[in-house]
Amino acid sequence: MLELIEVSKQYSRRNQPVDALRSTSLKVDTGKFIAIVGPSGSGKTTLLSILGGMLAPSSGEVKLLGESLYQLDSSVRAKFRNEKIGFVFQNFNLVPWLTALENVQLPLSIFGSEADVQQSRAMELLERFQLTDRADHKPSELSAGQQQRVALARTLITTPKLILADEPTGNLDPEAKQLVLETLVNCREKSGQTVILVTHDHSIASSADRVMTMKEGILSETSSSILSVVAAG
Amino acid sequence: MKTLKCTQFCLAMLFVLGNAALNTTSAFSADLSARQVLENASEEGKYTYLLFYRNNDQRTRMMESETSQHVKNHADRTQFKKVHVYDRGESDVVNQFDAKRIPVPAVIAVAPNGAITCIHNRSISQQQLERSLLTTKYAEVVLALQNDKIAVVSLLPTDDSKPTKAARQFLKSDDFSDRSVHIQVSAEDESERDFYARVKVDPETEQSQVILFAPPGRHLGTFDNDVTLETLTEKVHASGSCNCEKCKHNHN
Amino acid sequence: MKIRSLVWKEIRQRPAPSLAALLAVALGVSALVCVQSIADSSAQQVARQMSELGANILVLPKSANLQDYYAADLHGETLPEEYVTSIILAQAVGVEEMAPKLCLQTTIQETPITLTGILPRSEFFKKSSWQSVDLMFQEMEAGALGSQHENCTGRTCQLTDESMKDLKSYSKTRVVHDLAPYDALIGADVAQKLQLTEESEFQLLGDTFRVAAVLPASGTIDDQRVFAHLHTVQDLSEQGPVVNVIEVMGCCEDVTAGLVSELEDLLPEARVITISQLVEAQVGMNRLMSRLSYLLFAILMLVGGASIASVMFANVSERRRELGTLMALGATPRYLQRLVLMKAAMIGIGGGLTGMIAGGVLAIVVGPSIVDVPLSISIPAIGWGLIISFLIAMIFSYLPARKAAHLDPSVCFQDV
Repeated sequence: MLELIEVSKQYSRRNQPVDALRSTSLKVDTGKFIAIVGPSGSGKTTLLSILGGMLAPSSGEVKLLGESLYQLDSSVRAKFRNEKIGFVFQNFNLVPWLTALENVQLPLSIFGSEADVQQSRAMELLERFQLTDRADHKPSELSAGQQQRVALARTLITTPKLILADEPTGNLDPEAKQLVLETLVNCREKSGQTVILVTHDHSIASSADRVMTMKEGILSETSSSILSVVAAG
Repeated sequence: MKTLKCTQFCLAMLFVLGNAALNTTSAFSADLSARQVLENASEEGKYTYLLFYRNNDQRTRMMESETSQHVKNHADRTQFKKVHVYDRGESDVVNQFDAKRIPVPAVIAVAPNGAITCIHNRSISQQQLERSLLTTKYAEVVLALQNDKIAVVSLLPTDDSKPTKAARQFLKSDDFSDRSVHIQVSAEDESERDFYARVKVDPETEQSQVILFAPPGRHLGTFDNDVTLETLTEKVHASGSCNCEKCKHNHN
Repeated sequence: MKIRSLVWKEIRQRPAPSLAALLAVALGVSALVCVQSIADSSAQQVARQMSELGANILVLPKSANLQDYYAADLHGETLPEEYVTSIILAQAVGVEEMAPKLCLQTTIQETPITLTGILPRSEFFKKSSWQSVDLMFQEMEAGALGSQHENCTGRTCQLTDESMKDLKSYSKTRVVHDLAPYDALIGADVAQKLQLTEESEFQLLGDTFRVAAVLPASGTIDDQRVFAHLHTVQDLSEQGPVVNVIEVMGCCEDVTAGLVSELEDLLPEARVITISQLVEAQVGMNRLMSRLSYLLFAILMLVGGASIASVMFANVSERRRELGTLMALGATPRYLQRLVLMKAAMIGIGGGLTGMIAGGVLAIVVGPSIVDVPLSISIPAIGWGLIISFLIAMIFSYLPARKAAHLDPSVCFQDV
């Protein structure tokens, strides 16, 4: 489903090359839940950006659903991203001047699908996340948990094949955190969606099928049993 | 007998001189007001020359001198009066001729029928003054023009001749009946020879003729006996002399 | 939800910066629309005056300073009325009518008005006809006097039909055939303000005047005037037989040049100018106004453009994460570019429309007091204003839009 072949990414900072991602290879099957852990600045976000088709790697190839992502034309890639990839952000990244309903509609509206379709689909998802009564509220009028539910609804509106989550529970209380986790797990279990999640939270990572560690731009496999111990400890 | 003849001659001379003296006094009426001069002149069939002035400057004196000379030359037909425009005693005549609003010094000649036969300011010549003395019929023409009328002058070979048909029709036409004055001049009238001379028509012509004059002094044409009404009306309209609809097309 | 509503909602969320940029553009467009409307209306008025007034000449006191034809008698300087008779007696070829005027600023029922003395044509016809004998002599002896100028004898037409006696035609012809000493013609505005109707009477400087006619509205300052017989106004003003201006109506354009030099020789103490000279001055003024408005428009549009660029740059910087999120959700760089350009276009068009309305209203409200003409809004100025404000918005937001398109989408993961 997803394959990274010898992918590396170099930045130039103050004329000095910085290796954000070093020759990384990864293969993820459909319907898997992968957790990536690692300290700040280890290259997790860079990896997520590359996986999401938003940051071209310096070398290597990224294949998603059989397509070499960075061989695609930028507009085709954008459409591909819109239809096949969903993002969940730590800070929810809701558009502040749009209502919850409009935020959920956003991915559909970018490629101009019918307004009725947008609205009914968005309302369905808000209902699923028990936010029907908050449909007309702006993000500032919602709690952090509600905002993240709106963000999840926005991610799911296009029923993406791959969900990329960047610290999705970082700003949430335990109850909301649980809901997010359940949602992501459900995505994998009920819809067969692939989830790649970047987190510091080892308890969440423990719910993953595979846990990988990112350190200084190098991605390595970690045993989930070790994580269970760490989480329990 | 010789003494009687001599006495008779002396008396006759006295009479002539006296008359001449009397005439001279009435021609230069220093004591009479301008109004009285005008009234007397009208009664006596004389022309009055009024000199309006503000300052007795050189121009005024020059005009006075020229006019006086002319009046002396035609003492039997003319009178002269010098009028200061701010003379309260003369305000009546000053207002009548709007003399405060005309450039002075100015000489205005008034015919016995009231027609003004000349107005000249700043300078005047004997020739111009001579021109202001008109025949009776000519003065009638001028008066008609000054009353905003078209003067239809019929020149007749004899006293009994009829005006041209076109002139008669013109005078009766709807367009011009109330805008026209008919003046008939007979070639047999010796006193009107000067009029014939001025309008350049041979008094010996055997047919009636018609002349049209429009205000203020436009000669629209002299026409033979066979002229048609259409020609006359056309001439009036073409000249733009009446601001009727027909004229507007022709008058720029 | 369309991209348009996305932009509109964003503007509504943070209206202040957009409003500031919009106002800068609006200012430029309003200046253009206002000044151009005034200049255009003035130019139209000038053209109308030219066709209405034809070959007219103004005889003015040497010291008189005037800016436009309709105020030619409001300079306060005088010249003797005898000049009118001088012109008549000179038998100048091409003089068709004359309109001497004297103005007196006064009040009726505490309403300030301009009392204007006018001389009925019958008055100078009378004087013209005193030359009948000489005129006839000249015509008979020298041939047609009018041979100097085809179809034009240089004589004032003295026969008058009934239509010429209609006093109301004064507003159009600027000549009245006859006017009794205490009869008055009332301008439309004065009549409305003082509720004067025909045959009604009013007190003016201690005398009772009768309204002989209420003039139809002309859209000029004549609407605020009361016209009476020149000699009555002279008596009331106690200035004697004087006038402020003598308007000489020539029979046609061809005679104007010759007539001006003839009148200059005849009246060395006066200033003789043609309407076309006056109009030239006015046209020059309009041209200057028009050019200045373009300059002002250009400066203000540059300010507006800079303001738009600044607002858009700030906007793109502030919305980096938001734009990154949109990219993450599938927006192409082109989509983001369109988002920025559309916002700029809305500001530009909004500014243009606001400027158009503000400029139009300003022109209608302020215009008449500046140029004394009924205002009509300049359509080309509106067109140019809208087009240029749109183009300026597009040009000045191009770089911010490019910046948005080249944004690193991974900013959506950062805590900005």
